[in-house]
Amino acid sequence: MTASEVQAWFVREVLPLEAALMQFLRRSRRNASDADDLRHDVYVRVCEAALKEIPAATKPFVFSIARNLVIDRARHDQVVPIEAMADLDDLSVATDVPGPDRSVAAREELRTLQSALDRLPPRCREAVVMRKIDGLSRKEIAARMGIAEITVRRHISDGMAVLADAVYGETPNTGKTP
Amino acid sequence: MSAPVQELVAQAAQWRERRDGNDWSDADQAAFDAWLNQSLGHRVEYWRIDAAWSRADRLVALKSPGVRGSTGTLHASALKGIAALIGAVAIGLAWTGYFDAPREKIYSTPVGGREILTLADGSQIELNTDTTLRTSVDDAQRTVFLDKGEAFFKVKHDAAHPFVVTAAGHRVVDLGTKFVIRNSGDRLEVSLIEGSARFEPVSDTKNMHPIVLTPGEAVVATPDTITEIKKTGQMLSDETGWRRGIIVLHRTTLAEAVAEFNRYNARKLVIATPSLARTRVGGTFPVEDVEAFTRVAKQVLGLKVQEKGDEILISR
Repeated sequence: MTASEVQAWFVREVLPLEAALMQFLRRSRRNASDADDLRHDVYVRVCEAALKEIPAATKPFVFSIARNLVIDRARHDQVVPIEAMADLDDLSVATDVPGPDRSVAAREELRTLQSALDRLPPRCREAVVMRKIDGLSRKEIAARMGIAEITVRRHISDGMAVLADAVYGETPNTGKTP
Repeated sequence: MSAPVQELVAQAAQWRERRDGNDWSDADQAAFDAWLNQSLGHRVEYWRIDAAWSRADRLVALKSPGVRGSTGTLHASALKGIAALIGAVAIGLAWTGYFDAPREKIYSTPVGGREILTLADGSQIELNTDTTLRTSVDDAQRTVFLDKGEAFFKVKHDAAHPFVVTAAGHRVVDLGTKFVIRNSGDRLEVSLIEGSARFEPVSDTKNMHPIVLTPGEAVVATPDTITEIKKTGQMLSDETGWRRGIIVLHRTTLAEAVAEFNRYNARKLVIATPSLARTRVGGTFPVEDVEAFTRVAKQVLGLKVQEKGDEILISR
């Protein structure tokens, strides 16, 4: 498989599993930063395998890799959180994205993005809005916000990282705090 | 343990941000390629950031005219935008501006995308790949802004409500017509297919007088020149092949052919041997079928085709 084939597959089939994957990893590990770390390792292993051959069934494949990594990590730490082990055989995490009505999907998508946007720090959000919604250049944003271009760049790249977590990693909820 | 991953995510985001700028140089590309090739871990984080950032393109649906730059107001109107959007999202397209008069709607297609819009008056606009346009209809006039890309217009003529397309500052006024406009940023091309239309150059260009176009006539406008050209029916049919999902090459230089495929595909063709740029090629290809094209390059032209990252290199 070429890198771009793997990329297309990864974006289309693996990334949408991220919310479920993170849920699984968080429950399996004691702290959230471990989960980010594991997420990265899962993606690298999944893509390594996909470069040889794209797996036929993505979800079981991704979760079996996640499960193995959690076990390895637990062995290494010699500490096994009890819930994690209980969870390992129960991968019935809701991951099937409903998609019967494309207009509903588009609306949901916009809601997800809007709530992701709301999560950004104010200045960062301001810069992202000017870039994405108003289509302004770095220079124009810098002028309007009265900051240096380099700061605009930092706001935008910080914003990208938060948006990525929000659109892929967060478990969708109905806007209520859990 | 988490610092390295967060650091990778940050680096990926910084690269993605840099690529958006118009100051992306060959040296930047080389440094970026080197970073990507350092490890698969770099690649996957970049893919993830890139995909999220592309998804965020949809946020443009929240755009509301008249509140540029003031995020406080924008936030409120963005919510109205969502309210307006409910029940009103066309497939792949979103519109907004519901609460503002005149009503402006934004339509856009991604790379490789194509959409047909039918306006309330029955006029049709067909958007080619990577195109953004806005429509605004009021009592006096139907206005379309072709911000980027290419579109085919089939206009229901109505002298009482002129249909005007504005692109790169120039205006094209319908006089009962089918026409195509392609806005590539520094170059605007208007080709008339049926009926007629009046091309009105932006006022600060040297050639100030309006030009009435009839079928087979085209105008090419760059920031400082305006040229009238003639096109045969065959040329017009080839150039609008995208409406049928095809690219038609007819003694086209390899450089132009590659540029044409790259308009429709995320994986980019690159001519690695500069002297090949002027080689001529012909044939008809589905817009997204880069492989069909590279097969011809390999088998008919005897060139080397090599995949490298997100690029396909063509060399001798």
